[in-house]
Amino acid sequence: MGGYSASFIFGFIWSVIKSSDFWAMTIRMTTPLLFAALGSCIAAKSGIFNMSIDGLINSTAFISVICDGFVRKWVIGGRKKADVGEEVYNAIRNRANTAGWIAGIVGAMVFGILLELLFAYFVIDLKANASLTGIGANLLITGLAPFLSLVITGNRANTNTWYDLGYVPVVNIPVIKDIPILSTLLSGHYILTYICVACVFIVNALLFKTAMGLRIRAVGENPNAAESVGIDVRKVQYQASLLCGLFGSMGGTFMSLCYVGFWVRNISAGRGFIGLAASTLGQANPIATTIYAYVFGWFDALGINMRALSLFPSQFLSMLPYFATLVGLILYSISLQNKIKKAKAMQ
Amino acid sequence: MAQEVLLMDKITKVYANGFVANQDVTLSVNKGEIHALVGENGAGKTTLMKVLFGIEQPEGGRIVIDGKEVQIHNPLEAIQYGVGMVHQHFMQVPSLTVAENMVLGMEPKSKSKIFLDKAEMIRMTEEVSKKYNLIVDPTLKIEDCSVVAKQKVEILKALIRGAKILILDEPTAVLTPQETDELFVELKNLVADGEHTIVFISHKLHEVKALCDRLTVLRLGKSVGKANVADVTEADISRMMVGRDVILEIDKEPAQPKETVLKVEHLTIHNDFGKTMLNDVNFSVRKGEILGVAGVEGNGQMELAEAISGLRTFNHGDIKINNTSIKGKTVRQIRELGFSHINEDRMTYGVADKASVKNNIMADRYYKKEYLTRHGLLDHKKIDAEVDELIKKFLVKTETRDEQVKMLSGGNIQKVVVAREFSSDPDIILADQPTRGIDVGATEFIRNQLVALRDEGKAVLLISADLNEVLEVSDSIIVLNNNEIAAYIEDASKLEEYELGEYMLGVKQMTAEEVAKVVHD
Amino acid sequence: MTNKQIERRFEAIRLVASVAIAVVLCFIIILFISDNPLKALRYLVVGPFTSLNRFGQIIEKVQPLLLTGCAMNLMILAGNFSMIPEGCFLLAPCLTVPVVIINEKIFGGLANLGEFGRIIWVTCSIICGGIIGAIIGSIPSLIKRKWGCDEVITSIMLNAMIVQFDDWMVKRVLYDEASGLSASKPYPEYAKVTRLIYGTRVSTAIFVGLVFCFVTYLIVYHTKLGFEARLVGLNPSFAKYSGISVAKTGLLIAGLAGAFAGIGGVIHTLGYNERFNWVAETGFGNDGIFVGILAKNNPLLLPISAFALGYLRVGAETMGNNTDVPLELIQVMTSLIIMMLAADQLFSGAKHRAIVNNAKRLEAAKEEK
Repeated sequence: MGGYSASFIFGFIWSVIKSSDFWAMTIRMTTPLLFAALGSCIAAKSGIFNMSIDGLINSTAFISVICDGFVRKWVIGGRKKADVGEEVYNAIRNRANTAGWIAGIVGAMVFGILLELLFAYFVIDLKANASLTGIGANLLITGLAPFLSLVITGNRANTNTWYDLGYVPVVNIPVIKDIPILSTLLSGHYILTYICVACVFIVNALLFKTAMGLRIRAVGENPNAAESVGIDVRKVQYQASLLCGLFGSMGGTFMSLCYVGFWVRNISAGRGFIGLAASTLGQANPIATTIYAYVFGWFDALGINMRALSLFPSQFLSMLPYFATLVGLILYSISLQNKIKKAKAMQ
Repeated sequence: MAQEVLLMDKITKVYANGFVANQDVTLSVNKGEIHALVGENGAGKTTLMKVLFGIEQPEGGRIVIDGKEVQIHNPLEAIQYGVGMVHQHFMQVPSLTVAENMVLGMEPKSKSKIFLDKAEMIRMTEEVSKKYNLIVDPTLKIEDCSVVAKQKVEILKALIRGAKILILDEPTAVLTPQETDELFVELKNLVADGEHTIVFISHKLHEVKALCDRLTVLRLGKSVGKANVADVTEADISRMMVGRDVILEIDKEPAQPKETVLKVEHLTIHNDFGKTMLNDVNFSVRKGEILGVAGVEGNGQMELAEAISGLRTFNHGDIKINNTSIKGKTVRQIRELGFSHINEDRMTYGVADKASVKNNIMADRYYKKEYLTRHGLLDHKKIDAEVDELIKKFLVKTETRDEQVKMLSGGNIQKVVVAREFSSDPDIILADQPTRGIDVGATEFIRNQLVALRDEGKAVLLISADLNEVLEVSDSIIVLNNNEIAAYIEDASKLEEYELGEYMLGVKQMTAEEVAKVVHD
Repeated sequence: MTNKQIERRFEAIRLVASVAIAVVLCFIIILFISDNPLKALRYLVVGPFTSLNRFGQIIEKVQPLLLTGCAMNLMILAGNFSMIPEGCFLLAPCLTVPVVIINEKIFGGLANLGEFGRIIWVTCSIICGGIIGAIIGSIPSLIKRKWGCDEVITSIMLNAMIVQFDDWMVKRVLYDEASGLSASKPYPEYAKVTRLIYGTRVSTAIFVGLVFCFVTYLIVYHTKLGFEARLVGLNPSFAKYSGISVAKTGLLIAGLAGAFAGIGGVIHTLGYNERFNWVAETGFGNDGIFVGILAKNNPLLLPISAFALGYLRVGAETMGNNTDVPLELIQVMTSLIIMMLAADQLFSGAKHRAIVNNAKRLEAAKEEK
């Protein structure tokens, strides 16, 4: 194979896999997938197959950058370094940066919730086909984001030149940051990555420990049963859609403000769908879904790391996460079929 | 003197399509009794209970609970008045635990007001479970529960919400005899405190005898009698239930059966939950006869129809049409053996409601040579001509052949189905509830068509929950009870309806030799 | 008035109203963001007809849209929302066209045959593209049939992989340094689809597209397969009961749609491009959804809906180039229309009221008699 021996290739892959940087990258690459997957989990539990999740990532990525940029500009308010002195200026800048990324998250959440409520309205009230509506919503965003980008920033393809790169703080965990391997692995990630991990437990608690979660699960599984004890099925599904937008939107924020630094067209590159697939594989259980999301993120990171070895064309490495998702979906369906077969054989 | 806890006085319910489900029905239930509500399928029992539970609004009549006249608009209000319903199809969420299902919609919260209080949930469940001596494991998931446990949960769900009047809709349909006995002990316990009252809906008369204090009989949407259970025999009840008013009389000559077309041999079918729905069933249908299948619904009629039409695989035995086994054959191959089929579920299987009348009529034959041009394309001219002819022949009231089927009335939709199924020159027609829920005119038309087809020498297998229909149209009748053939009546015209009722309701049973006569040659 | 008339009227109203709502929304957006909204509107509406070049651009867009529209129309009619036509559109030319570039020695002889050589080559590539498209197109349905995975996600994953594959082919395999861009060697003259109008890229591909619209119409309304597909799309349970194999029909339709999209890709690049240079989604497959759903029940309307989209796109480009309103506005508009057309219950309240009122009126009329 192109002058490389098989043992060399495996040796290389091994050297990649055993480096803690690679695992840290896996954690980073999984963050947006996981947000999308968690959002899908909640929607799926309420009985809505949320095809619009990829559009959610694409749009909220853009909205985050815009909110971030405007808020930073507003906080700095035209003050220049020369006028106020370096120290004061830096203090203001820091404040502006912090206000910026928080505004980015909040703005994205608001937009994400609106988008999901719109989707929910079509699917729940207008009885539209969820797949077709989802496709429509995703296409809507592929038009809307560049449109707004051009109107606001003057560039339709990205926001690279519009304003400074996103600033989301990196968190160094006190004790862990001094331990050799753990520091690369667990410390020094963007704050959103930690929020994401926290969200896994929040969503899990929400679904399994609260009354709302109980109702969401009941509505998704047997709406008639929920209705017979006086639960408003429609209301619960809207609540679930709202939560889906809330959690999913942070995936978009991570993509633009953390991963890329700015917004580019089709920034999600299908990550929303991969997240949706993860939640399907995890049967909408947040913990299981998280594991699958990490598997897909692992392939994403592997593909990127393997580029260093110019043996495989980069394009084929880019296919890895999609391929893994496809194979995962097929394996899942096979196991599901076997389960049904077994259940039948039991009779 | 017993105190009247519930009075439903002169309840009338007319559905939007004009069907009168209840007409001046009166039901009076005393406190602390188990009151049976009996009647055959379609007699209006379920509608009456839906009215009581607030799912349907009556057009007339009043409901009095504990001496106060009440208006019940939805299930929540019904629950507030102390009415609880135990649905035949359990209203439970399989992946949730028993305790979670119990408290759904009234969940206890922890002190922080955020989280569910699981301990409290379990405590509430255990408390109510102990109080009424219906023992369930609150931590078990519903999907892991036995049917009996699910039923207990369903009853407890009503009790935990403070129900004093419990409606049990055919609760024993899913139980074995031993489980049924156990349930009866529990129900008797429940009313022993004098606080609770049970309305027990059932077809099974020996159960009514074993359990209930008084009974009310519904027939064709009217209350036709009430009695103390102790004063009547099962045969008496059966006579009250199935006494009929002949609405439609069909003129027909005696049948002249010829060779066998459909042969069902040792057919055994288990449903998806492993329950045996048909057990070693044997019968045959001959050319020139209409064999009626009577029986309380849920005794395997649906499975029988699905198996013959190829929509369901069967476990043991064989089905032969014109001496060819249909095992492993596709729906189309079975149809090509000379089979046609009116499905009981008209809107799901009978038609594609958004497709045109024309396409619905052509659905089973569009691929045949006579409807194709030389080039293998659909010959619309010929198709249109045939469709127009069928529309005329079967009196389908439609403006054009291109009208969407969903725009037609129920009777006309069924005529579209019949136009397709009767015109494919079949040897055997399976008519499954052919006139359910349609107007009298269409009903008469379809029944006469069935008889006409018989006279042409076709074989007809008629499955119907409508006793009038079975008795009027059939030449011979088999009765399904307990998932087996309980009786074979060779000459249906000699059968009295009360006798049929006794076979259907399990009061009487023929011997194996008598039943075996249904297999000809 | 009969219920059928009401039904039909509301079907038409739903279509017109969906389009109208989207258009009005776009106008409002233009009013808000533009310094000179009238100018923007003029470019959007009249722009496409102001020069032959621009009109040619409409037709250039219609060419591929006709075929992807056919593909999506078939898919939607059969109730299958797989997005794979986009992938077929990308992959079929990527595997077909290079043959002629790589093996010029073998195919070079075609050049000597003049027009005849062109016809042979183009016909062969259409057939190859069709076969490749059919294979790719049926993969999601095969997976669905065999294992039961949802077609939408599998098709999107496949599309993402196909984009990478095209990128690799163009940049690594077919790459021609002389082009100065990421592109293959130029197509030899005999391999191109004949251009029709000088100065535009309008080619005979448009006729191929129109022929396929008619073919689609024939399939849908005059063949057994089309009949089956329509019934399966409307009510799969009923189709099964009538003796139609639901899985087989779904598979055949997906294969056919894939073939159409593949053919569309092949003739589009041969008529439009000088070299093969597709390294990203073209969007024509997804635009096919709009074209297909707009012409929902009648494939003969596909040319009109494709022209409508082509016109909107060129109008948007003209507007985008000459004013401060971005052309992506049209994407927003068409997506909204897709969503609204997917919504069965849109205006159902009004329809229901009309039917009820009508029934009351008829009752009253009866009583008067």
